[in-house]
Amino acid sequence: MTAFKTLDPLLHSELRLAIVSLLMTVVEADFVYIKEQIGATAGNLSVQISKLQEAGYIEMEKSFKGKIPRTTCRISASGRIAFEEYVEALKSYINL
Amino acid sequence: MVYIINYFTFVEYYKPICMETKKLSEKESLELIAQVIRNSKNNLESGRGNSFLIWGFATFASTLIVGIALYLSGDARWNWLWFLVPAIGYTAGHIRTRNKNKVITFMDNAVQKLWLVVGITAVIAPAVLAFKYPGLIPFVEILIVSLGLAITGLIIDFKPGFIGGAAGIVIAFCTLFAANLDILILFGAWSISSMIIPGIKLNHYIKTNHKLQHDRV
Repeated sequence: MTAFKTLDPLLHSELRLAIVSLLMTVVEADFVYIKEQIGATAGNLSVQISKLQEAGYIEMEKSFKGKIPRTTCRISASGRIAFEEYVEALKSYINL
Repeated sequence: MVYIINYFTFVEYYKPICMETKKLSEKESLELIAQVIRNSKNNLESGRGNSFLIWGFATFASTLIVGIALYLSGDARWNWLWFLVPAIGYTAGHIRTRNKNKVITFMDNAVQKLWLVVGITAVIAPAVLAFKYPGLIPFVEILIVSLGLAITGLIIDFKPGFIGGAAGIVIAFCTLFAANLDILILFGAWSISSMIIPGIKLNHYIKTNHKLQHDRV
């Protein structure tokens, strides 16, 4: 009998998984870019990004471009590991 | 990861389902990951070839200005106008990217670092050569930048970019056998063959690629 690995509850939600998946494919991305790519509302996205940041999965940098505030996100080393473990766990569930 | 991406076929764009943070089934999770990665990979930035065009036209315009000034006056001090190339290139490049949403892909990162090294070398080399071997400046300058162009073509996997860079390397060696205003003609030919044409082709390729993506959806 195959032992199922535990799925990380933080990543096992649509929006957070989409954010982390997107950040896995780039070095860094700003908030507006993530919002456009994922198609989430700014408020919802902001909450989920904060949760991922609190867990140490992503790193955020706030800056200004001219007078416009800009938030840049990038995946952290622990976020990368968590994502890879999550994919491995998923594979065990569907026998890949 | 590529194997996983190819394993599934997708019938829905992931956008509408991402508005809430609902729980997913295992299969849905993998589909979502694959779809995000796929969209991200297909997200070729439109106007990416404009960098080639900006520097190509900056070089071409500067060549014309310097050429006309030298032809009319014969005064070598007009060669200082070559600094128009970085002045125009950096200013136009800065304006182009000023209001864009920022995303740095791994490819962007590699290209940026390459051009940091190429850019610094391309500024320092002529400054040093000017003291003892001024005649070698066109050769060294075209060679350094063409190497950067050819490597950029390889990194972004764009054949015309690589061919343009390779053509530039050949032109660099040609400058060793040319004199006076012939070198300016080679500079003009270099800016067209190594930067302007690849830039136009890259923009066209991205435009066509985007159209194909939309047609598929």
